[in-house]
Amino acid sequence: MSAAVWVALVGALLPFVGGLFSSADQARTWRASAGLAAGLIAALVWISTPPVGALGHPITAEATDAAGAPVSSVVVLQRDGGRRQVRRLPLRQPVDGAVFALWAALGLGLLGAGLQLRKADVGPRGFAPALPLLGAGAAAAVFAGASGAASGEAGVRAYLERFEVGAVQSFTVPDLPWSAQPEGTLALVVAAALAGLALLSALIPQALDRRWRILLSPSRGAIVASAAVIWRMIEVGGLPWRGVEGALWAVAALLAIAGFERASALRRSTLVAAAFALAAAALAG
Amino acid sequence: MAGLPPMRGPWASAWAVIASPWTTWGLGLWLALGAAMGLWSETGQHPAQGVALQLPAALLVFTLVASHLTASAARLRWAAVYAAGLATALVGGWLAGGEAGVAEVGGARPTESYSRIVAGRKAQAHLGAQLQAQLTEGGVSLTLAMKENHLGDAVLPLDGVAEAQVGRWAMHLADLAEGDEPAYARLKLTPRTGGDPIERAVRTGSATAMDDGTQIMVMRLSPDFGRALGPAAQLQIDYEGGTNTAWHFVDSPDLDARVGISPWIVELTAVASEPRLTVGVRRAGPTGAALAGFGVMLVALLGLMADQLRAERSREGAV
Repeated sequence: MSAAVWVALVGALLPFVGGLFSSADQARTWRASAGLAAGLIAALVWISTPPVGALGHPITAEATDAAGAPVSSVVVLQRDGGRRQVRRLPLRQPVDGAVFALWAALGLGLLGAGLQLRKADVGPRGFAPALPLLGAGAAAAVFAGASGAASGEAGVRAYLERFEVGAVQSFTVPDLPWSAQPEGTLALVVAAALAGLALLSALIPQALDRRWRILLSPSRGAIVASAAVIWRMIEVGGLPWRGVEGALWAVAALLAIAGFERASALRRSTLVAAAFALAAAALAG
Repeated sequence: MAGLPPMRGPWASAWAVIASPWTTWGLGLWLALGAAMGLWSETGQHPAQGVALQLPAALLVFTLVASHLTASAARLRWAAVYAAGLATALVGGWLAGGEAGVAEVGGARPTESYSRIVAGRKAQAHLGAQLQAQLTEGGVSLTLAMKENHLGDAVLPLDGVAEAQVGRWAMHLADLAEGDEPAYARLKLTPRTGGDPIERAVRTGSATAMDDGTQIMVMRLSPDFGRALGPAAQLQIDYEGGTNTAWHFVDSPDLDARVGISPWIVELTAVASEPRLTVGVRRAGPTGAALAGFGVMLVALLGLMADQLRAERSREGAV
């Protein structure tokens, strides 16, 4: 993943740091937006994992070798009537419970955001901001726990045991060991980190110095994200409208709009939340 | 609405919508949603960049200024500068190229077209020449040519996102995957009179020559001969004294040793495929205007920051 995406993500994180550690009212709004961002990231990870299916549909991770190349096995199957079938089977690691975890992360993120926007506290202090952390953290743990590494004949055999493929006559074994890391793991870890920061600001409320808050405002984040766009343009050698470039460009624009927003902390923080979720999703894109 | 004539009726309503900060906020979310939907597009380009990215951005140019007309002079100035930068970047993006899509190039087989989204549907667009890609140690070597007219060539690195100009197109390596169709045979050749084996990889339709003048040509390949006998290659062996054409099978490595009569024992060890290259293609154009637009946007943001810090300093001074 391009370093420019990380720079844009840092640009979107800066206003969160400034907002979460500001006056009590504003920090509350920013915590709500952090929950919204965590939920949005879970939703975007779910959308990004083809095929997008129903709740029970498993998400699978493509196995790759040390060089990053997809790994497959050519399997010879014995069919009815003595017929043979030769199939190239890309090795993929199913992530059990991934869709449930993502839906839970989305639900808990939105619930946490909604509770933060209420005037009165619900439950003990830190309860509402803990919900997005619980959801995003659990989803990140499910994804990270599925990254299985395997090698050799035993690895292919273990993989084939998952299917009812009938009589396997023979199969080829990839030369190098392989591992499967589900796409979106990093984005979910980032979501959990943001939710953790929001919880920290609720448990240890600390208002930053006003000058620091100006330096950690959305327009400063926009400067960092715009620099990331220019960096990416130079890295690519042009301005294509590919998905990642479009996302980087949108992150910079969203942060700038939030920077120019004067009156409403809610409008400002939701725009930053959208920018942060977009930058995190670009990590998986 | 300082400086603007008073408006009435539908004009006033329309202006209220344009100048509302909620409109700018909504356009921002539209932009975010549009950008998110483009992140995983199959064709390597945003499938609806006009509606999802460029339209909300173009509207933002107006709403950003309109919503700041009642703000302080400094804020309005920097909002206007940012909007000007945004407009320049949009025009620059249009000048910098477009018609983006992807071309599938498989080894020795050239392609003349690439897939792109036209009016919401995937369509094939002509490249104007034949694009040939070859995987080399230094990267992917691309050549665009039509008969004797050589239009351009470039080498793309295997890692990285950099584009290179090939003819009137800007191209980058979007994906590198194992191909589906068999492309070459791996042969182990041992002199029938005894000696060390030699290994060769020979493409379909080409031949390899041995020291004694024997030529071994790969005529056809099959990933599973007759859907029963596994990977196979039809080889024509021309040697002093005759020609021998026969199918050789990976699953029967000793077949030629038992029944062959040519000076070389041919063992087919594998039928392999060429890597399948996905090349991102777009019309190349100058990027100066786009870079200038982003530069102006940066200046506006830096100016806003300077004004805020100045205001903060004077506030501290007053206290």
